[in-house]
Amino acid sequence: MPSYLIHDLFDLTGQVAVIIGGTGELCGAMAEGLAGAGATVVLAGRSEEKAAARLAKITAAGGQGCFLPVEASSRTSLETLKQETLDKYGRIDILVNGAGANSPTPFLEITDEEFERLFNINTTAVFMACQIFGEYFVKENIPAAIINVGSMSGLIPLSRVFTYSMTKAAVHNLSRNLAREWAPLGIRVNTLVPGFFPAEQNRKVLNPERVENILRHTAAKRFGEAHELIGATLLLASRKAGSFLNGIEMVVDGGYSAMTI
Amino acid sequence: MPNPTFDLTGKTAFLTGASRGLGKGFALTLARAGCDLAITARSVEDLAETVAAIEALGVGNKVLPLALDVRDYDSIRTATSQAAAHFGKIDILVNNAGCNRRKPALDVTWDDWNTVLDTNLRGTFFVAQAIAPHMISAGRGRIINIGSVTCVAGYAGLAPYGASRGGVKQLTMSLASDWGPHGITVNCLAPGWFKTAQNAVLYDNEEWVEYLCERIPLGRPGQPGDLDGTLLFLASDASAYVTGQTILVDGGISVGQVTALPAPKP
Repeated sequence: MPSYLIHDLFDLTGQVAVIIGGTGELCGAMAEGLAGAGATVVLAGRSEEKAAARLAKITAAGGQGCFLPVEASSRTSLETLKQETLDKYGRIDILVNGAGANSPTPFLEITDEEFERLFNINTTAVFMACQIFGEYFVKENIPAAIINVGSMSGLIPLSRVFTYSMTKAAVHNLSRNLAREWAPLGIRVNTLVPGFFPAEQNRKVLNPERVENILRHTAAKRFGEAHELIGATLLLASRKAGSFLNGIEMVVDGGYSAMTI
Repeated sequence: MPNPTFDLTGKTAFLTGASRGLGKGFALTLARAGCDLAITARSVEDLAETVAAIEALGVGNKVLPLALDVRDYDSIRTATSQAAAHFGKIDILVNNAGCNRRKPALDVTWDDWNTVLDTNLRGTFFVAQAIAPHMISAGRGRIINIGSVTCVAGYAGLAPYGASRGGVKQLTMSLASDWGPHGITVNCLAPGWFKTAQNAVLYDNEEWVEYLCERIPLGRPGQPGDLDGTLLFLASDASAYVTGQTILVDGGISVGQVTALPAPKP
């Protein structure tokens, strides 16, 4: 039976979390974890169908939430998402920025269009969401938690994902700058950095040779499973458990980065 | 998919440096999360307060106080064997014992250097080495090395201490690599500025505290409860895929040594 201490530290009852990219595999699991801790979750993304499957699991477990559509790289769409969330639930306490796209195009063949598309989805969208939701947190004096989803490739150069790595490195940097900027207001900004979790964004670049190469220097000798991001998500999201965590990169990678230069 | 549990009911932890300061706090937090505990200090008598505080929680945890000097190899082997024999297993190790000799680098003596490094770095390694076989045979384990912001930043007057903590960060990565295949995670919990018995003298100086608070983005030094969440995360199933990491719990000091504006009061 969980002790009062654990309930006190990690409970999110009464809080509202907006998970941009919550229709995907990894952020969907994070959303499910937040709902399991008592938060009302808004799964924001493009696919209502994927959201419905996740919401069915959330409600079956006694959680609550909804799907709201968003085009993450559109300022207007993000503004609408914020307003619709406030209209529906009255407040926002937690923002997860996890929409993303990847591409294995060889460096010399990357077009300006592809470069721009990945930056729009992976970086510009995070920048705009931090502005739009951050303005609300600042004005309403909410000690919010912002969790931006980074990437191993934002820390360590990985082959074949040039643009993606650049876009994620920018997210890591923005998170640290905002952590510093908003800390005096009690708003904490951290980066959650997944290692190798096979999901829709990276499955296309994981061939057998690459898999062997990755696991050779992963201490845990296995890939991560989406639900293994939940513990770190709850720690960073909670005002109590994460009270003094600010500006960190929480790396959940089975020890990949500890064994890699 | 139920949420991972931060609960430690039925787990056994081995915690060094448990007589006072952050270590005493860690003992109470682990106990409140349901853990049985082997707690150590150089003298068993020094553990009486911690034992009493755990018993006062009324959680019913088993507590075994043990004498352990982390600078003494035989002492490490004896205490860890006693704990393993008593509980039959050790699930969690918190390597907390540490010391400091705060002085300008030019004044550091051979003895200062040895005392700090032998306690903070050599002690951390050999306690882990003594405990790990019990975790390997179980196919799982959690090792938490206590570090500090000096794992990643230089501070004047802390040369041996900083070198020892930098070593602990490195050791954490190496041991994670060694023992990862056995289901053991090894991480470093690195607190920022917290008032403890070791540094209390600094906090008596109001001017210094003001200086400190201006440099911590969250605008205050750490309070003991600030470490509970991260400790339980690293000790529990919730961190199953986290290993080799140094997790700073520092209020953001590592991203903002200088704040551009005075922090507004919350």
